[in-house]
Amino acid sequence: MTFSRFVRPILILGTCVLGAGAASGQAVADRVEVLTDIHGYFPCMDCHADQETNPTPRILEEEHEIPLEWTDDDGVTQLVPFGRRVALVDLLDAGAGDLAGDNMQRIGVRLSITDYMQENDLTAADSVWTLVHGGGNLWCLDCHNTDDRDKLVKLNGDLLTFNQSQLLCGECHGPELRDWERGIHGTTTGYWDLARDAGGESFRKLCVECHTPHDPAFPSLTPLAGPITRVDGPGERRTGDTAGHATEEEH
Amino acid sequence: MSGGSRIRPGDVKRRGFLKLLTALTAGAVTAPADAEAFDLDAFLQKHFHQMSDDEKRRTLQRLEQDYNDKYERDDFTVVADGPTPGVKFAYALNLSKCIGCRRCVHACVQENNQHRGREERGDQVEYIRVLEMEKGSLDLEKAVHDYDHEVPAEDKYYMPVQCHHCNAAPCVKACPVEATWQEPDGIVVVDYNWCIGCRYCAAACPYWARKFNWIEPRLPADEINPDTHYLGNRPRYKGVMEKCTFCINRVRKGLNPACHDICPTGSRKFGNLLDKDSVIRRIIDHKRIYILKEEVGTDPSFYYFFD
Amino acid sequence: MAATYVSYFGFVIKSVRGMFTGGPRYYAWLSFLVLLMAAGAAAYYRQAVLGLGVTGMTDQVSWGLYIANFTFLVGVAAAAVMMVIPGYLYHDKAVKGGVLLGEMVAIGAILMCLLFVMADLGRPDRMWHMIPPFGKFNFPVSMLAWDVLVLNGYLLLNLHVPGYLLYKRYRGEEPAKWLYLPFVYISIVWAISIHTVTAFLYTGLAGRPFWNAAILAPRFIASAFCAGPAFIVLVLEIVRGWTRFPMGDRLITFLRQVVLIAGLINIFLLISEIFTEFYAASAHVASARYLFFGLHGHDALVPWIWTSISLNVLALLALVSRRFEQRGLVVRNLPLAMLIVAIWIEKGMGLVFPGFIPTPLGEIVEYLPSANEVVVSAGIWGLGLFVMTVLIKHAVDIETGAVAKNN
Repeated sequence: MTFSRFVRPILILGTCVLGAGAASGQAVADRVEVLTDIHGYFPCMDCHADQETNPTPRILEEEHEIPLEWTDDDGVTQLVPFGRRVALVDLLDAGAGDLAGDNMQRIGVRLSITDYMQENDLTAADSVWTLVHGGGNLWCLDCHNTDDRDKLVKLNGDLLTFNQSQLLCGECHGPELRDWERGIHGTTTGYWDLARDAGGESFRKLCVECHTPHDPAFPSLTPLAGPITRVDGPGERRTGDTAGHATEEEH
Repeated sequence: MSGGSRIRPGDVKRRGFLKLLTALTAGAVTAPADAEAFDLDAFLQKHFHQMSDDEKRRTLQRLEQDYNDKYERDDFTVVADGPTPGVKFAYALNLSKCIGCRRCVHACVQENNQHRGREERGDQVEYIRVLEMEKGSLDLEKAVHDYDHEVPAEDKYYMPVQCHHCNAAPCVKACPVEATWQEPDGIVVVDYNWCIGCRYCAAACPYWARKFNWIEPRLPADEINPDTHYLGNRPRYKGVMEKCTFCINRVRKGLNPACHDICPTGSRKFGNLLDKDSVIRRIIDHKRIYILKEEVGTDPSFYYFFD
Repeated sequence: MAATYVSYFGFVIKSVRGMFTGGPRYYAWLSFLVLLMAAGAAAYYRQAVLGLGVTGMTDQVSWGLYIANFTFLVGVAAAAVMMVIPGYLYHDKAVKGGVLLGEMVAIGAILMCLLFVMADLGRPDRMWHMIPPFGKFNFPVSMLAWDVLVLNGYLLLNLHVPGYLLYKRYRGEEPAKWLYLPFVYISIVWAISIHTVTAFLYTGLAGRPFWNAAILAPRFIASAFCAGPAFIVLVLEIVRGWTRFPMGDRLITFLRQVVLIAGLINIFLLISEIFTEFYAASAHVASARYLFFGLHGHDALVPWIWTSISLNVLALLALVSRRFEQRGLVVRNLPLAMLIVAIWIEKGMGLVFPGFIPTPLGEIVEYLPSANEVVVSAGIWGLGLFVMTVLIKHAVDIETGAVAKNN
């Protein structure tokens, strides 16, 4: 059973990211709140409840029909937002361009993936991806629970909800989980000083918010503009077009 | 230093006289009026350490008014939040994680109201320089500064360098007028109203962290961050030195620096060195630390570490 | 008491009148210098309005032509001590006769030093920040504070000693030893100190390996006692050729020897430096490699430094051979002029600029002064030479009796 058989585009319901409501916080050891979009309602069992599971690792040939829209408990229509990978990259760029003044707060409070996808007309179809994770040694049901698709499953059979996914990741990536719990690994935003009366909150992303679970390598990015530095010789030195030079027009 | 001595536009005679007077008394060449309106209060402003609390308060008010006038806004705040006892800031950067995307560089420019340069991109004052390093070497001379390909590139790693807030800071020693100093919480700051622009500090810095305002800074009004600190991100003047302050306007309020929060890779870690539960202390305890140019003896508050 | 003031006032009036009395060539020279000053003032005004961005300096190379000239001129100013020591310590009559002129050169040079520092400031309007008790003077920690102190002190010493001596001479009186000799002795140490402190300005920077070398201060002194006396000899030759100032060959021969010995020591120190840098070839060699051979295709300073070294070597060979000593004015002084140019290049292109290249982060950005910067520098040179000229004219007037109390 080689991995190449799995390296096919398969539509995964994996990280069901839903809802634009309040984030569910999961307290970590050190007063840091884990802010995550992963919470609430998972639609997997809407279909899988009636299906028989074939536990044999194989290529998933059939189209995976999923609802692109659903209605939450408050009667609001929501998109099913997939495509973390594309979202992550663009989200960063969207955030980086708009940080001054009041918008600075947006550094602390991340835009939600859902907002992002709605703004950019992205649908689940934009998020067809490949199971790269594991280098051929994993397949869907190694992490997704066979009987209850709304849950993840640990090696010892314990079930986890999607917002506890770091514990699943930590089964293979122990040192990373340990560092993450210490705040060394992963992204933290907000306050360094958690004792502040005003605010004093720190937000930490879950593993899957930076690492697409099915293709976890951190994506390559286009860097923002670099400095204008190189000067090829005195003859071509920068006049008037660099940080160090005055405008040509006289006062 | 009374508020009444401020020169109003149109008060030409008095202004000319005062200019002459100050030029004579100080033997100075005052900047021409069309370059920067002369302001006697600003000219006579004392060193930050010499001001009484009352003088500080009035200076901050005057600056807020000046900035609001200059940039045609009404929301400038200039604070001078002091250090918190028991806090000593330190920064750690994970060389194994940084991918060189330069988001920190640009978030910093926006947060700290730097000179934007003439072009839209590139030629602005930047406190952070991201170096593209060759794997297998820590030789800065092999670093590429102006890479513009997808990152991370093969066989490269990335090393952002900014002010290291040294505890034995060569720049502080260099300054002939004590316009730059290290605060009790470890932040090395500049009093932009005291700096004489001799640039000896820039020559002294082993990290190339100090940036000079060679011309009147260009700062579009709509790109301004109006929440400013006297020793930090308030708009600067032509002819003065500036530098990273760990975003003093943010960190003194308990927030992380802008470069820290924008980092998509979580390479940047910030905290209180004196708090043994802080992430900084955990990194020092559990990770291997590299101090850039440790042999120079600057004792920086900025650590690089590896996974 | 009042009579003293009246007498002094008369001294000043007569002196100033004397300073601006001369032949057509004298007026032409002064006019030329005034022209330079005017151009420099206009260029400086532009710099004051637009900022130091009108110079070629950048964050990468943050000191340029101004500080290079400053460093060179500190050496010229210090050189007067080479006449003071034999003149006052060993009572060499021939040398003592020329000391006054050396001190006038020193005054002009110090003035230029201070003006070059001024021109380099981003906020000259805040100069008062240095002056206690209103300002905050970072003494004794900052080497720049030391430099300001020693330069101004040296200026005062050099204003006092010749000023007092000339005044007494004007009155036809013997000067009181206690009023000037102590200051003469102080000025000997002080002269060495100004160039030493200026060298320490650079050597104290651990982050700049090119400067952070103990050999720098000795090299500064050696090159100063080479270029400085060379400059003074040129001045003396002009004074000897155009005035009745009493001066024998002995003085000039002595100074030429000083130039030669200091020049040889300078070359020896240069060789020591080059050997250490290139044989060990540690990472610190980058700046030196850039200077002498170019680095990664950047080689703007290479022609300059080799020109400097060539001029240095040729001029010293000429001095060693002594074949030109008895030749005409131009020929015999050409080696001295070559040495002045060589050491001026050595201070700017050879010391100040390459210290910044590559930057502490390994970036190579080259530096070339802008036209505005060159004109400001020329203006300061014009002003310094103007002051030097009229002061020397004044000294000559007094020494030859052209200006005296009783005529």
